[in-house]
Amino acid sequence: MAILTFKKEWALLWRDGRVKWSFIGLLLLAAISCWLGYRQQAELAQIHEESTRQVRAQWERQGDKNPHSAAHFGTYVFKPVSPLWFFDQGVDRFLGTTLFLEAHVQNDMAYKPVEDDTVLGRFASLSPAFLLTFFLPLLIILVAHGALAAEREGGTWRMVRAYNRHFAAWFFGKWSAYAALAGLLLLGVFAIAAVFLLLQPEGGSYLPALGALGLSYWLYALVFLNFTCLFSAWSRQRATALVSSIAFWIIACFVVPKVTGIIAEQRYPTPTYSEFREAIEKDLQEGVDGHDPFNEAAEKLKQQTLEEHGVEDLADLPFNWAGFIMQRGEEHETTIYQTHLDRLKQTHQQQNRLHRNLAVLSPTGLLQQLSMDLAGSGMADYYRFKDEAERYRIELVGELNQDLTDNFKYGDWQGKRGAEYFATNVAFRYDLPDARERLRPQGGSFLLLLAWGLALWLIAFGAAKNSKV
Amino acid sequence: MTKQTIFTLEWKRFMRRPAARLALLVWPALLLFAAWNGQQFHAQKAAQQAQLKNKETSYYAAQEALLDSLERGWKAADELPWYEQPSNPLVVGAFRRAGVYQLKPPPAMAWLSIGQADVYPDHYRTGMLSLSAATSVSLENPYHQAIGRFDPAFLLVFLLPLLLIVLGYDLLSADREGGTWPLLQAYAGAPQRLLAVRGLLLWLFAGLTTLLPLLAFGLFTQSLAFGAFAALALAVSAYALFWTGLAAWVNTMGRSSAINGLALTGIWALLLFLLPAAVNTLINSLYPMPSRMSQVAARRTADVQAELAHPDLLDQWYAQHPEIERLPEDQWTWAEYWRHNFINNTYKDSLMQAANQPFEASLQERTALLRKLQYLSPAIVMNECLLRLAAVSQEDFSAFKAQAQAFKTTWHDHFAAFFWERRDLSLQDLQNRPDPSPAAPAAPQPGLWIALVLWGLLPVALSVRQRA
Repeated sequence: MAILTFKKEWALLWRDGRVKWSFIGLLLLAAISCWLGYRQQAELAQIHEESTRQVRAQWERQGDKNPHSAAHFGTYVFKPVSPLWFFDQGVDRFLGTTLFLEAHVQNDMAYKPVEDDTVLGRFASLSPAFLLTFFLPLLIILVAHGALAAEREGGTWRMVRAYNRHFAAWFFGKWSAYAALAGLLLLGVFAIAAVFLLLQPEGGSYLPALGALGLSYWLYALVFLNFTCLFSAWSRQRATALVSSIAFWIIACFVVPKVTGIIAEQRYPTPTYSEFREAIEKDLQEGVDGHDPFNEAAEKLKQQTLEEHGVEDLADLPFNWAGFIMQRGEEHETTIYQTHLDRLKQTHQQQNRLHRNLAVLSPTGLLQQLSMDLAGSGMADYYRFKDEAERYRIELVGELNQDLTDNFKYGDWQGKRGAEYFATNVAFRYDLPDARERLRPQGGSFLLLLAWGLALWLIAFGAAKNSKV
Repeated sequence: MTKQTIFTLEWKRFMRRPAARLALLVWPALLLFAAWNGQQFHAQKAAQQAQLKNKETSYYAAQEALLDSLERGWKAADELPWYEQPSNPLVVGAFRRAGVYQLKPPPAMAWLSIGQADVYPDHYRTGMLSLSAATSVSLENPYHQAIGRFDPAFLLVFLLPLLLIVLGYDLLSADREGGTWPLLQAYAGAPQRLLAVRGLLLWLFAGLTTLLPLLAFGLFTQSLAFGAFAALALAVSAYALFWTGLAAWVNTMGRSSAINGLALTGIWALLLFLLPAAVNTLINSLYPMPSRMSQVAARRTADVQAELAHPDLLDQWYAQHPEIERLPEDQWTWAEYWRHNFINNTYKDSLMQAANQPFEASLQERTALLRKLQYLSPAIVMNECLLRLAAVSQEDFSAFKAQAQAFKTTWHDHFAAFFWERRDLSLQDLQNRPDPSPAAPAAPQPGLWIALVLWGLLPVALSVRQRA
């Protein structure tokens, strides 16, 4: 019965021109968006490589400088794009990819692409992830809104219910046809995406992540399918089922994520930029400041160091006090910045968790986070990069301060280092997380999507079974 | 049957629909919530701006008081190191706490839209040597920026059309399907009369349930500008007319309600998502933004170049100013150090300007093309109208940036004159320092409203033609 119903429904679906053309249209759009994303990604990767090489050359050829002046001159690091970036650009547009590293300060990422985009970028973006998140559910609604309501409208519902013994098989057969249609479309889209992925060096190693993305989008599509079947079971007419399903789509895709954002901001408020900076400034004053010899903590450290070495003058120390205090200041500053940034990161994580938990109201927020994390354009990748860049900053500035401490005399600010020395300084290297590292934290989200789908299927089936003739 | 009777009967019929009753309750509530959310966002910014301005005011009040006591001889000038002397133009014009804030305060009806205000700066800190942009919004989760804001603009641009589609997709088809069509024709006469009445009712319903809550919110929160509200009413009416007209036109085709619903949803998706995304892609392809990574590298090159050119620049400058003695480095005072710094900065600024130029040019080209293509979709036009009313459009922020840059020059020149002439500031000079005026809104664009009205009339004309 299930197979027969599946075959009949499948044939009917393909006979419907609207379904056929919508299917082809969406597939075509997804292919175009994959190509556009890939083109942009390839360009970004090339610029990334060139710029990284260029800033390193600038570092090495910055001219003769005191090591601490070089630490102030600083350097730039650029966040590379993941091989799956073309599929989902996630929050990268709002974060920027450029980070300036210098002594004493942890800067924010600069040059957010959204600042260069037109206002239309806020309407919609032509990315495969966007199309599948918002338009795949719409296609499901288009094909499945009449699943049960059309039977009722056409007068065949009575006949279906007459074979009550086979109702579960009939329902499953019908449902499977729609689920298979969504699966077929996703198979097409992900096959195209796989081609663009494999065109990239090391792209092949991200195939498991792409597979996981495909599975997530299919589960997401099934949640909408089950909702549509539920509304179809409740409605007497196809039009009512269609309008109710579209209303649910609007609420789930557009309203709930935005309202959840408001709730998250109210529940876990983030500080304003100036509050954040002021709090850091305040804490910084309570420790060693390498540039302020009158600073209380610096004075205390000075006395302690002089006592430890049994000398009375800083010039008599076996090392350069200036380099030593700079490094101590750096360590204090790093701790302060890290504490505040960790707090901010924690707040963002709490907010994101709330989005995941409120997936009970809408699967869209859950899917979006899952998708961007798998594609390497989410918050997790951003923080991972920032942490790596900070580790590098500490290492580089530490190296320069160590040189100042060991190889320069106290008070010798005119002493300089040249290109030969700067070429030996540590260089930044960032390895993107591999597919396994991306997949590991996503188990909970998969299970949640699966649970959503299963629970809704049972509810939709129950509603269909109990609906009146 | 008179027109009035038809109108009354149809109104009753319309209000008996569960969807209409639900919309009557939910839609105004959503609008009020969105307006509150929009206001919260802008109120946070305004509070932040007030704090910054207070900081600036108290800093200059303290400097003025100090200078006053120095001038009156209550305090000896040599008690203070040079970097704390309020008569020193660098101390009060360039150094750490010196400088003024240029603000972009939200206008009265800013709550209509958050627009680009979560991306672009709403204040600039201006000093002699720096112009730093900052935004007063919290260090928010970028995911929240990515999903967009729940403000009235979102509801009006995206959801108002859906409300009209849900209420209007079966304007005539429901009666055809329900078998009441002949009966209706018997009492109401020509179908066009019935369609016109139903369309008018739908339009009035949408207009009133949208504008009245927003009017009430504006009055209640004392944030209503009547001119802006009139412009909003015109935009909402025209946009609602477009979607009502579209629903009516689709109904004249004689298809089933389900097909009508699908067609209208398809048009909605096309005009609100696919077309804007396609236009944006086209703009990005025709005028791609040069990479910011390349810009960083270019600016860095300028930085190094300026540093390497420093000795030559000084040679040139001293050759042009033989009246000023060039001291060896170990005899430099703060004045020499800063003089050299200014000489170098002037050169560096010119290099930076050249490095930034391709970006500025590309941004202008992109915006110019967008302004031509925006008329392709009424949704883009409607969005732009709302951004203008809330002063959060791209043009508003560009105008603010230009104003901030111009003021930076004014501020710099005021204090630089004292520095180069080696004059101290008097209390009066300090008090007469340039004062930035708040950001002026971008020039009004009546063309947007005209375009929206024309879009509104288009489907109405099509419906009339179809029936004819």
